[in-house]
Amino acid sequence: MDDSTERWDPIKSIQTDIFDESRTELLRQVNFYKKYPYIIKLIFFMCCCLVIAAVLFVVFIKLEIRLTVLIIGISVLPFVYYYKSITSLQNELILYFLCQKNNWIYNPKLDTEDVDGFVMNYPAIFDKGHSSSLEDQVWGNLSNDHVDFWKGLFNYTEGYGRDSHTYQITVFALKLKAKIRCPFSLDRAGVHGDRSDIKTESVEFNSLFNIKVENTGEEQEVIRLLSPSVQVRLIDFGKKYMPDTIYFKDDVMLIVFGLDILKTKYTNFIKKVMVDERDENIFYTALSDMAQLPSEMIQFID
Amino acid sequence: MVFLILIVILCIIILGVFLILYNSLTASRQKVQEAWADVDVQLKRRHDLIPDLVETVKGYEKFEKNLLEQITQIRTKALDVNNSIAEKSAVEDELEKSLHSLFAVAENYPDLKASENFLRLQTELTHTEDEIASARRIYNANTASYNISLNQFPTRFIAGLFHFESASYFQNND
Repeated sequence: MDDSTERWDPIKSIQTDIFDESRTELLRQVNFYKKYPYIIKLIFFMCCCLVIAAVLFVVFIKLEIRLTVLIIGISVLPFVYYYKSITSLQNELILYFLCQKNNWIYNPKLDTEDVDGFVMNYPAIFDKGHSSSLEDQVWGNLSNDHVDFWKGLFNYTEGYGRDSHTYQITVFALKLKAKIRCPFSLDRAGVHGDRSDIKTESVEFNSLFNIKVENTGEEQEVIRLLSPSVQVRLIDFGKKYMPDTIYFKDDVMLIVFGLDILKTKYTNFIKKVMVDERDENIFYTALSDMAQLPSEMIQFID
Repeated sequence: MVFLILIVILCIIILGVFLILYNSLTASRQKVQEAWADVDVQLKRRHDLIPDLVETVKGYEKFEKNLLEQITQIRTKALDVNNSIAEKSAVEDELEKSLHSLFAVAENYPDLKASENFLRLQTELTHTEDEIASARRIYNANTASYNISLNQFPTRFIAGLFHFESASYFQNND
């Protein structure tokens, strides 16, 4: 990838490609598995043997129930951990090849430095919990629709100690070609309660989304932006991808998903160490669908 | 005495349900009217753009006069139709087809195609067509929801009592 590549960033305006190290590490891992493809199968086989051994152990050496559960639980951990690491590697590799093909920038590393910028600029989305971080960030441009975008996985923790729980959301940011004067959000019905500041003329739209306007008195402006064709696009998008929130502020549209929507479907390193093009297409299609939204809305933004 | 109290409570519950269903039907009907208002706005926008388009094209002597006259007549008819949505739907479909024919014929006139005014009007009309299609979809979805409520039990009794009438769909006859 060209080191001088620059792409739009929602907080810094420009992101320059400087993440060679993490990508080198990614490629090193994949090349290792390509060279020794049997290693993945071997490790999974060993993990399965460990679970079977643990089960046989507790069956023949009759232990109390808590110890039994503990031994079986511990024996399953390596399998789960390794499965997650392989799945994560698959996802990262798909993004890597997609970014390479389209001349986008990709940073698979965990990043805690830029989080403050996101929290400050978009508190409605990012001001959550503590110990926040970003990973799997992508900066790019969809040449067909001429839309700049950023994508990242945002991790945060709520609670402390035993009551702590870590959440992960996928966020896409798309650059609008003009600024929206009135920040507002469309929350999927039921995700953040059912309060809606305004309703449109579409029963279907109102059943899918709750509109929250940040500043009172700007409701009419928001309704003007949500024209019938924009609503129809949002309805189709909402039904297909079920985003948690679509948030509009200045010249940025943020789309938040409760889960990582780009999980691999066809690529399976256990069978073959190779990225399936269909998984790349899933990502690209999702992005293209998202890019339709700002393209549709632009004619209503002064 | 207990029996009387039970009767009163039952009456209150029935009245409550009655009011909820009536309000729900009214809200549903209101949504249909709002959606129709949106369709109407877009249709009017299209009607307003047509005279400019006809004037722009008239200047090209060899352009088919019959087609321009046809569009003008259908537009006048569309402005006069106020009675039923079915009738309006038929006229607007005719108008849409005539406009598509006009743009198809315009392909044979390079000077016209290059005209800034023509291009601007064509873009605006195309955008308006998209808005009409979307507004139509929203209207029909609201209408379907309203008509279903009218025919369901027990709202159909309330609908009959208060003369709620079913709404017509704004069909695309392609």
